[in-house]
Amino acid sequence: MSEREDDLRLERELREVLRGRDPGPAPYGLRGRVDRVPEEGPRPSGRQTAGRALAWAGSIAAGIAATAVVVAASRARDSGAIGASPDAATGVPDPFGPGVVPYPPIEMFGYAAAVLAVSLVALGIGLLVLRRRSGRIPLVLGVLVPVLAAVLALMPGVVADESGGTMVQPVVVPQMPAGYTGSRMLYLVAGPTETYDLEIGIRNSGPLPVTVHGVFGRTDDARLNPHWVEVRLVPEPRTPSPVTGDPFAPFTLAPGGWMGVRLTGNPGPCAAGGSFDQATADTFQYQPVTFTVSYDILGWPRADRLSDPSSQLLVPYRGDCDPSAAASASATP
Amino acid sequence: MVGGLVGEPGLEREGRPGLRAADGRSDAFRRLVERHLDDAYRLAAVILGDRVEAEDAVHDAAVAAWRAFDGLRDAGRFDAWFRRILVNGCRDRLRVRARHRLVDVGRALVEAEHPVVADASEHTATRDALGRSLAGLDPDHLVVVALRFGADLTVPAIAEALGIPEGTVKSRLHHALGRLRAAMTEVDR
Repeated sequence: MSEREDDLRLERELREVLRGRDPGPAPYGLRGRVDRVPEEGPRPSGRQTAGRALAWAGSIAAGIAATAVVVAASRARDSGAIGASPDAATGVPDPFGPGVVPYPPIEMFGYAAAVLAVSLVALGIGLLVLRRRSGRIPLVLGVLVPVLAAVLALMPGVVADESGGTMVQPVVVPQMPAGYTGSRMLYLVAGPTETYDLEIGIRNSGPLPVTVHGVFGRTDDARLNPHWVEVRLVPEPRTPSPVTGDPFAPFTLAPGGWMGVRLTGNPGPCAAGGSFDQATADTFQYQPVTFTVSYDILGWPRADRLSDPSSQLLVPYRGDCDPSAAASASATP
Repeated sequence: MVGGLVGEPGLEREGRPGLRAADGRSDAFRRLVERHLDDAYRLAAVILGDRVEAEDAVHDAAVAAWRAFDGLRDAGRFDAWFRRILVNGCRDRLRVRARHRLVDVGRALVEAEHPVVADASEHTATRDALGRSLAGLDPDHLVVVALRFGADLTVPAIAEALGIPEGTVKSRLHHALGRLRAAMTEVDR
């Protein structure tokens, strides 16, 4: 028997089987039941309407609250004590706004957690009232949105690339005692009016492409923040200065991709500069310079603090210097 | 408000003095359902393979349709609209059935005491096999097969009834027929 004949036979047999299921006209009892539907059939009751509204409201609120918790948690992990004026050199907005933002306010966790708990209870009550398929949509939304937010907020993003390392000029690398195994100290010794270069290698360690929007180098004390005058992209690690790379613009890194960013700036009026030496090192104060990278994964904003475990960059400052007074003095001709 | 429902002549009564709008709406609904009741019942029975469950499915579909009746603006669309509600309800019932694997204890006892002797005739054996294979199909596939070969709907009409693309209908038909063909071939050996 050919395949065509097989198909025709299958169709014929199938029609016979299904015809065998045909019960004929609707029975009298069914006609009566359907006829009474307008009188007896439940129109959407106020209870159901309220349940649906409660389920949707609970779902949306739960999604927002859970997302807030995730965002707050990821920022607390990444941001640390940072903050400064937006960086004019990069031309991109500061991800944390002006001023020092030690951590997201701790109450935010409490409020968000309380809202989350209340929202989930509302969602549950709404679904219990509904007990219908339509209730699955708010349930799925209420669960999926926070899960998606958590995945995008917590998945690996950009890291400081150790192979590129942190390159600094001019710098003093002090001789450490024998047996010292801690991170390498790099003392930046540019004077108040001199410029210096920092280069940080950024690697995308996650499974998804990331778009980098800004790189911010700061000190813990906002008054002593470096003043950046130029930021350039350096496609090759450790390119000698001056670099001829393109000025910074947002760029995308494929998974595993690398890009160097060179920041050129001056350390401000209180920097010790050339007067620093190891013999008098105890008379100076030091500010570590850290980098924060603002980027997004599939549009989800992230800001991670980059750290190079092998070295720590310190800027020596004159301990008796008032940054505000020194700045106004240097501005006066 | 039924005022927007066009194509249903009886609704003009609603405009008569003294006749409440709710009455006109109920009458229109009854008339429309009555007109499609036999087809709906047959379709539900073909899909579900159970007359009692088909009655419940049609009743549930009527209740759901009455709830949403205010949203229907064109009485000419009632057939397709009601069929979609009914088919979705039947599909849900098939899914529940597949999840819970309901066993008719009474029937099982009767069959245990009086086992059914398989008909030796080729046709009956084939149809038995097809019937069992149909019952084992995925609910989505079974619905498509029932609409195509039981209700004689075209692929575009099935796509409209289920609210899915025609390509999906064809794909489900292809997979379902593949399984049914395998069951038929098994009997032929």
